[in-house]
Amino acid sequence: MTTAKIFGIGRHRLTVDGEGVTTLVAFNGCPLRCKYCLNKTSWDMDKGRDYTPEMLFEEVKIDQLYFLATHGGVTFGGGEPLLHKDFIKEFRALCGPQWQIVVETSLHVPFETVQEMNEILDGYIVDIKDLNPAIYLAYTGKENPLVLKNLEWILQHGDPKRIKVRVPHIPEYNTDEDVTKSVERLKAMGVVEVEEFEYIIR
Amino acid sequence: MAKGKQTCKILKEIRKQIAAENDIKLVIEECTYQGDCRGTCPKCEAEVRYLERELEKRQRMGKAAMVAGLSVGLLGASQVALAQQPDTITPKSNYSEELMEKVAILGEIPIRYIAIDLFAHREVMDLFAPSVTKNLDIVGFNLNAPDDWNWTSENDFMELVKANTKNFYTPVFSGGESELIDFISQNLGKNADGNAYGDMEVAFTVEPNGKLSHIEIIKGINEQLDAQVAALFKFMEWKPALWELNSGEKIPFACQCVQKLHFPMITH
Repeated sequence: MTTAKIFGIGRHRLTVDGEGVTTLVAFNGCPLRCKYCLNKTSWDMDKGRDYTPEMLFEEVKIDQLYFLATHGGVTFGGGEPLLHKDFIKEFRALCGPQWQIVVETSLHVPFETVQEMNEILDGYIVDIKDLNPAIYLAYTGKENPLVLKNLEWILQHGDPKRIKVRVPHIPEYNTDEDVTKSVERLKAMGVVEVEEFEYIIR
Repeated sequence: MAKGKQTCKILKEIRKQIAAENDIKLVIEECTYQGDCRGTCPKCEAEVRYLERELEKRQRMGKAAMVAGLSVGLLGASQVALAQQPDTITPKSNYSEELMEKVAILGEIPIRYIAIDLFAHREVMDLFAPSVTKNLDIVGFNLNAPDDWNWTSENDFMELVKANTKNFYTPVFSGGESELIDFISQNLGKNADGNAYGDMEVAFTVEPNGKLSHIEIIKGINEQLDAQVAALFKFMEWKPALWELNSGEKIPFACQCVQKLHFPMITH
């Protein structure tokens, strides 16, 4: 039986995590350790509640009418949702094709995972951090070639419009010039939905 | 406008669109909760469950449920329009602060408050069965849980309800439905339209104190008679809906109803 720790379920999010009315489901577990992570709770694998895909489906289907009427659905975040590929696949089997399933991901996951999940997902919201490898490493504690490989592959295997790439201004880690360089490179890769944003520092 | 209220208005618009597209009568009351909410509340949830049941009925009758993509254009447009609207909340509250505060915040993610949603749980709805009359529909209600209950999810809450509930009693006009018919008939008196014929449906909320609020004729016969009947409902007092716990405690709760009336009335 597939289970996953989920530390938050946020209903009725209007166009913030994808199209239409969405419910955000936040998984525990993340390979990165970003200094300004908004959900450090997700790092702790002991927190949260154990769910099976069936339990989650039963809980979130109360908003099915809103999902269907607005082309919304469930956005999996976290944490890194793509660490829970089997859970999401089973959830898709339960909810059917009409709900939109979007992931908020760093794409810092095995290449095979991305290949396996691409058909199942309707959209991606990618927090790319910074394309400069040194900045990425300093901020996340990990290397980024895998991220770029994954991004390139999903751009080539589906409509690029379903992929929104968010580029943060990261205080003390990158400059406006770094952000501009990242944006330019992303556009050159074929990304059509790019969004710059400021990290909230607490 | 506060974010929760804005969400509430958009969701309400979606419900209205679904109802209109599928020819479903939907009683939408002006929300009287003061202060911000989480975008939904037990009353809003009850409306969604009502729509689901009505759509199911239509599907069983072989009709298509028109929902997919119906409100796709609404979100962008609504958010612009809502930003320009004045806040119209009146300083009254149907919902307790306590209930609306059943919200936990973990990190950045607001955990949804626990919707008290009995319509989704038929076995609990069945607890109503002994006291439902054929002319009175219950379309929504709001339970305030006892102070010592703790729960973390809707399912947990429902388990508590099932484990602790002995019965639900629908609101009732003092003396019952026959008295209600007599009351209306006698008070309409000679001013009533003697030729009125057909069914009328009156929506209203029976508050925990037995007073009626949010009275609306949702299916009328003629303007004059509709106004007369609506005026009479303003004077009525009902026995409120009661939630009887296994402990014997009975807790009154607000209940949104639709009463059917047949004209000409047969009095007793």
